[in-house]
Amino acid sequence: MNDALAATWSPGRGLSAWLREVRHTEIGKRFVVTAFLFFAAGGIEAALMRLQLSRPANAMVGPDLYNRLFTTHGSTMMFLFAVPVMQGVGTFIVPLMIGARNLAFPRLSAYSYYVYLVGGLLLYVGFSFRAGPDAGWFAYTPLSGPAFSPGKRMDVWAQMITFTELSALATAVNLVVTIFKLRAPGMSITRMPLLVWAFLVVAFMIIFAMPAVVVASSCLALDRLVGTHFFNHAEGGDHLLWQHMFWFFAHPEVYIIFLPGLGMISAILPAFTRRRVLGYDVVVLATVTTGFVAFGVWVHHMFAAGLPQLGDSYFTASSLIITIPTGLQLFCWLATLWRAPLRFATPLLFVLGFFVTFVVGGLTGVMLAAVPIDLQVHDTMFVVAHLHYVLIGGAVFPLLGGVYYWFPKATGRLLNERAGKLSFWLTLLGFNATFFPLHMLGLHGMPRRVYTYLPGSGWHHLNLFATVASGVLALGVLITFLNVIVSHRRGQRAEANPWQADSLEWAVPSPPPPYNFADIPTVSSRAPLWEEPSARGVVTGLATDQREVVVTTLLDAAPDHRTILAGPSIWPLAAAAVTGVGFIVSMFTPWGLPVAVALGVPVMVGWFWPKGRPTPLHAEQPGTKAA
Amino acid sequence: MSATANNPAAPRSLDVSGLPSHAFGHRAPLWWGVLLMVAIEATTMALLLVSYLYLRGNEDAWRPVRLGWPTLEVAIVQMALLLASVLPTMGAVRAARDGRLKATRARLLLATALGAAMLVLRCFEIRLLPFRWDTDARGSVFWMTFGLHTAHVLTGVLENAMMLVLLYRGRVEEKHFGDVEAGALLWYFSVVEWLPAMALLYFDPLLWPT
Repeated sequence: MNDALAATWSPGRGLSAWLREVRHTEIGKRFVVTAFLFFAAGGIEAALMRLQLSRPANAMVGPDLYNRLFTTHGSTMMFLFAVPVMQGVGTFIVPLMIGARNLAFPRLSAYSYYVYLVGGLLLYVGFSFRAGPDAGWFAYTPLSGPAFSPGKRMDVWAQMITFTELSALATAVNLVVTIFKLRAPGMSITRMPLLVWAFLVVAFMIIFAMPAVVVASSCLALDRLVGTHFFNHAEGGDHLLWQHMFWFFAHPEVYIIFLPGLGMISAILPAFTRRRVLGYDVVVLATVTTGFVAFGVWVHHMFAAGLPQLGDSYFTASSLIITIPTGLQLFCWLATLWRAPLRFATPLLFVLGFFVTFVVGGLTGVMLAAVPIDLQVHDTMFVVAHLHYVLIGGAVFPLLGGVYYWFPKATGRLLNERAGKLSFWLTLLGFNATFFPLHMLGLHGMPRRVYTYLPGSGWHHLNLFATVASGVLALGVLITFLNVIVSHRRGQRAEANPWQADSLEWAVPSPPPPYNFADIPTVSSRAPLWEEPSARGVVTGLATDQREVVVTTLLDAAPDHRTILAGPSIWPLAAAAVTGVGFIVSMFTPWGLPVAVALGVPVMVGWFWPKGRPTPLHAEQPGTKAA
Repeated sequence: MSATANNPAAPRSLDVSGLPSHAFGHRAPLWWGVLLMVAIEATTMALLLVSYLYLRGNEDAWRPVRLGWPTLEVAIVQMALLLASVLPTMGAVRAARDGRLKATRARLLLATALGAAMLVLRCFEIRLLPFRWDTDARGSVFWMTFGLHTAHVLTGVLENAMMLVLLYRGRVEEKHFGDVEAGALLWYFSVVEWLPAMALLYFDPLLWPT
């Protein structure tokens, strides 16, 4: 039976099969690897900026290159690393955690990846031809508009945004439907792993937040290309409209980035504390609450824009409120750790590193929520320190923990533990030594986004210290990169469940076969591998000669009907190519849109036209199909 | 079936071979996929309408242009065509749920024809509009909203046309009836979204003093 399954679900061999790939494990891995390559590029840009700031009046990097560096660094880390890497982890892990054989829309996940790749390459092709954007990662108008940013630099930025948001939206739809409809029978919504809950909330946040930045970047592109006046005061437009739309997206974005990180902590903790996360209901409700409140805090980015005081007060209050659900989760994890028989493997170390770092970022967040403090430190290094503590602490530390935790599942080999621990300590120390001094520099008045400072300013000691420390941070991350490369080939072989963890992804071999589960499991508890190790039921009666899966009901996950998932196809790549041509031509002429429609129609027909063996109309439902 | 799945003492194997091979409405993954896509497009449309109101707040610079005969009338006829297309669409969905192929395709054909007629009128309206997207901010937000809606209707008509070719000429399978229902979700949305949009774009300026 497993041979039949393998024959049905295998993608085949060769370049064509590689391009037609739709397995979620493979697409997920491509997302994560690509995102880490962009992370490395963003890291190099950061290193260049740190070197430039290491001494006063440094002439190494000029102001124009510095502008492009910080814009590309921010845009890369937000749009090409943080969101896509979480998309990749979700694509890889969610079907495994819920007992599914693939995502609900396998071809859509391939399209997501290719569109993201085109957007990322566009930014870096632009950068290498001196057409990289230079108005900051949030591209405020009027600076980013046609009057002050002539040339194509900001068009590259606007279209990169459209590509990556399209990719994120497609993944979000895919994840929601997969989580709603493809859970293994018995995995009711109250038995879903906490990480799956996190991805569900994040996917909904993407669906309601990302359209804002797509609208904003489209309006900006139109202002620049065909002379609309969305952000032109002279003709009735408004710069603040940009800020509102951008932050209506970009504040939820922060939670879109770190809620999966929090979910990873909930997934990692049980394996190393030998107990389930305390307060499942609290963690779930806190995650959902964060998802809602995240949409009501965006104006705290605009305190310096001169809005009515009543509005400022409201957004101060909501920004303080959002710390409550996050705090609840922290206390649940602390209680889980309390007097547990801890096993200090690398994934747990990164989780503990998260606690330290994220709490510092959270505290400065509470400070920044107060308007007087915000006005004082607005646009200074203090904000740079705060956002790196939140994002690196909240997302990158759990993510690196997740890399050490799930690497054996993805590749069948364990990462080296000694290198992992070394990497952890260097990353933790290097990170704090790099970014803590920036708080002080900010309080001393050092502005962000200025390429140098004068010798008498008194900022050079802390800057030099931060630059040296950033080398330690880079070394720590580099060790993990090398660990991944070496262990991928020579690491110790991993069994199915090397950490003795509790969730379903550890029930399948490492790496998972193309069909994931030889038998789709049935689930009757929150920790299926701990509480029902041998008595786990299985689903029978699914066809093995077609990609047939069981669809379950939304709340109870009762078996409802069978459906056949889409198989490998070249059309997602073709569709992404058409999307790419359309958007890139649109940077130069409005004809890009009709060109994309004209090319897109045949591609869509090719994608959706039924192929393969038809199920005859009004056919009797066959009886037992499987062996 | 659900009782056995949720009962801890359930038998070790759960035979699903007797379950149907397709389903309608919220039971089907595709229905959810289209619903979420509608959520994305609805958010986009809502943001444009909010932008309209935000820009309108800059009253001193706001120069509403009243759309009169024949533009307004052409727009109203389009709205009527869209509303009229809802009935045959609902009929097509009902027929699809019953698996009646002939009724499904006839009703879908009527709905698609109404949608196509609306697009023809829109082409005329484009030529009648007395301002351009680069005239002022109102023109920009008008054309953007107008363009987004046109894109939605065009997508719906093209999708229906493809569905019709499949239903008349292709190998029709049971699951395609579910596709008709999912496609109808997008169509309903492109009709409903134009009601508040028309209220703002066409009727709001009439309330302002000249």
